[in-house]
Amino acid sequence: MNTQIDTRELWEKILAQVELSISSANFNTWFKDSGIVRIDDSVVYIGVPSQFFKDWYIKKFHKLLLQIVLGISEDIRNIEYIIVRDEKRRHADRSYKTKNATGELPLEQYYINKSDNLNPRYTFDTFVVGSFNELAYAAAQASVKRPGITYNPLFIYGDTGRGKTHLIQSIGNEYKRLYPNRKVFYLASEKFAHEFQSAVANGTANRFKEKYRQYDLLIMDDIQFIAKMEKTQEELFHLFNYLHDNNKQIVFSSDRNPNHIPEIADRLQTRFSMGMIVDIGEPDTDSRISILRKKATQHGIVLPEETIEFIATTAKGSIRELEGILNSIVCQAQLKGETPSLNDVKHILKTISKPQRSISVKNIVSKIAEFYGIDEESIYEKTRRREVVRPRQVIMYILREDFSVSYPTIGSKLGGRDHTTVIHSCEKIKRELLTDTALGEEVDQVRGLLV
Amino acid sequence: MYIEIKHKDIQHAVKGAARVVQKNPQLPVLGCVVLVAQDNKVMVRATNLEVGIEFVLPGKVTEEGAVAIPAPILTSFVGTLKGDETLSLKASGDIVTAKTKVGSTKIKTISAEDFPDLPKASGTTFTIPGPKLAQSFDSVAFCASLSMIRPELASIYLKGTEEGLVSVATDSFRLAEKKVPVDKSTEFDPILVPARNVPDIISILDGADTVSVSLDEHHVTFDTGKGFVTSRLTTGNFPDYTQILPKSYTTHATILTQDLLDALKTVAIFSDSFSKVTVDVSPEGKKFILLAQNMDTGETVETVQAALEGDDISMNFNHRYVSEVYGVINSDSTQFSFAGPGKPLLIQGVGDTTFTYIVMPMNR
Repeated sequence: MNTQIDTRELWEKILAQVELSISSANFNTWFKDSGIVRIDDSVVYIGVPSQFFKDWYIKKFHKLLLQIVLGISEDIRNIEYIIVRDEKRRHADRSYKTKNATGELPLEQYYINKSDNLNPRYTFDTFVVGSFNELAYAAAQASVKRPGITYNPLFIYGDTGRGKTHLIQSIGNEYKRLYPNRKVFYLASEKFAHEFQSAVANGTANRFKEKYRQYDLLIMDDIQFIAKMEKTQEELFHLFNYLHDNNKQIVFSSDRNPNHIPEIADRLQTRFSMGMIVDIGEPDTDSRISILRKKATQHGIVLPEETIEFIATTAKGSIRELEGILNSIVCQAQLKGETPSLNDVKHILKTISKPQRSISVKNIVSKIAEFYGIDEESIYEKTRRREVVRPRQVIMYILREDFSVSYPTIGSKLGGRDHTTVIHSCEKIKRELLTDTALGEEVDQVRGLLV
Repeated sequence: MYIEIKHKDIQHAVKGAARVVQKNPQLPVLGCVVLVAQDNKVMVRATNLEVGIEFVLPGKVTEEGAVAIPAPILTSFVGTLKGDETLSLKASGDIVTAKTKVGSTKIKTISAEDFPDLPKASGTTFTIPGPKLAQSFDSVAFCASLSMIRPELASIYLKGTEEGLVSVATDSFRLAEKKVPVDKSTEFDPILVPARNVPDIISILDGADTVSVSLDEHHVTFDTGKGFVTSRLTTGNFPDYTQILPKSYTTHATILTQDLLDALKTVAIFSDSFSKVTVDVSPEGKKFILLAQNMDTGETVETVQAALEGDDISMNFNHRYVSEVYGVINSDSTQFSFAGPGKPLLIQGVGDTTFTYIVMPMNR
């Protein structure tokens, strides 16, 4: 009858008044877990957690509540109390796991192997090779076939979501398959640092050292996270020397070239470089198509060619994002029981695609100015001092090459210069890059800053 | 309020009641044990709003009334009482004076006015022998899950059947089932009693021959005449555990319980951080071996004398899951029945078919 009354709103109004009438301890104890379940036929039903509450409400709060409710709405005649099942909690459990409670249970869900940390899902078989990663793939294969000799260390870098972790875990899994008696260990550098720090704190540093020295293949993911941790780097340095001297294979990954990770000690950087450094670039459209096709097959659904092509060309994200998109398509497909049409897919893409990365010109200027140690303002000024001219040209070059800003815009943003000046600067840097290696390094480092 | 009670009686009651009390509740009176003198009876009460417990003590009531005393203070105080003497408690204002033969103590109290009434379940009622009920709970309680993520697994399943009481608990890694035959059996639908309330129930069952059990949709009350406890019931469905009991077995091993425990104790020292022990059974080679290996500390292999039959098998277990069951199995010898790789292991005491324990293996 009084369906217009919002139960939640009513309960909040009641609480506001109850809170004034009783002590806060009483209020928090008795009212926190209650709520209005429904309003039916002029009777308000208040849900409470247990009989304890019900009895106490009837005994202590009934009069007060009735008074308040009558004050708020004249349509209500009475209040009843019911014990509510813990529906909310139940609901959450459902999704946790419904069937087969004991038996073949959580133990089986420990998918990751505890002794080596490797996820068996990541193998070379499931790795999609394309032109963007074939070099990395070949290097990985080689390092498994002749571990410790061909490329030691193997350093793989690339932007997030390019399949670095998949590739290096595949090395581990393949290695395990080929040499079952040797020891493999995979971990993220952050975990290494954490373990080292607690080992030092507990006085078990020696045990820590021994633990890592026993491995025949050590794979360390996301090495950039130990930048700035000097002690950890030192430990890694010694560990590296030990393993390398004993011809044990080491594999690293990082999100950028080791030489561009600031705050990593030189002696480590040079060691990273002594084996093989390969990068995984951005996947081209063909590779994206084959990745999508493979993943879709793994999910057991067949997507029409045009859909796959559409996703591959429109979703300009990492492979991880592709996977996310595919997952939501699969989910929709299972919900509806049919393969989504191209239109459905377009709709899904619209809702989940994220805005393009954009970096302001000002931001880039200030970073590069800082890199060269010059005043940011001087970039915009009309000065032709030597130490300003070069950085200004580098900025123009990077804006043009990396962010595809138009020549006239670059000119106007950098203190109202003519677009021909900009063209000249870019051409000049481009020319010099061919012969001047020092400049090349500079530009690479600057790019590192802008990642 | 003015009462006189025996040391022993109040000690037992306060200990049982104080266990229920939650630490640092928002409402101070819920952190108290309440003493009530009424109708020539002394009642000791406590609740955490999930469980309510009341002990009824024999005692002399000179003046009726009620006081609430913070549980830690009262527990510590009655803990110091000695001998078979009488304690007198007299309240005046917010002070209660406790007199023993040798001492006089003044304890600050809190008004008992805010202390809630303890409800009793109002549905069907029947009686069960107290010791049998305690046995049902005791035998399986150690298996219940400690995590509240799945409330039904943090509960003990109890059912009255033609043959008697059946209790089951599982944390999904192992499962225990106990059947307790009852002379005059009572059949009732399964209930799920939250496992953390079970010690409170057992404390009230102590020394009671029969208990009367009342059930309604949300609560259960156990009343012994010398007190009662009301617990919330878990709403939810207990998994159909009979489905996961192995239907057939490939290997059987019968071992002296003491030998097994000795071996387990040794291998436990060298198990790894996942408490893994390997059980290696070879009827053909006449071997029953337990082994454990730890990178940091060492490794050990223990051979146990056993009567074996069936196929060779090797499986890994968490040694705690194996040794813990021997708090409940008292038989001199014990039987391991293997159902094959990756399938649960059945452990029973030889000659005791009322207790069934299955434990899942660890994968490699």
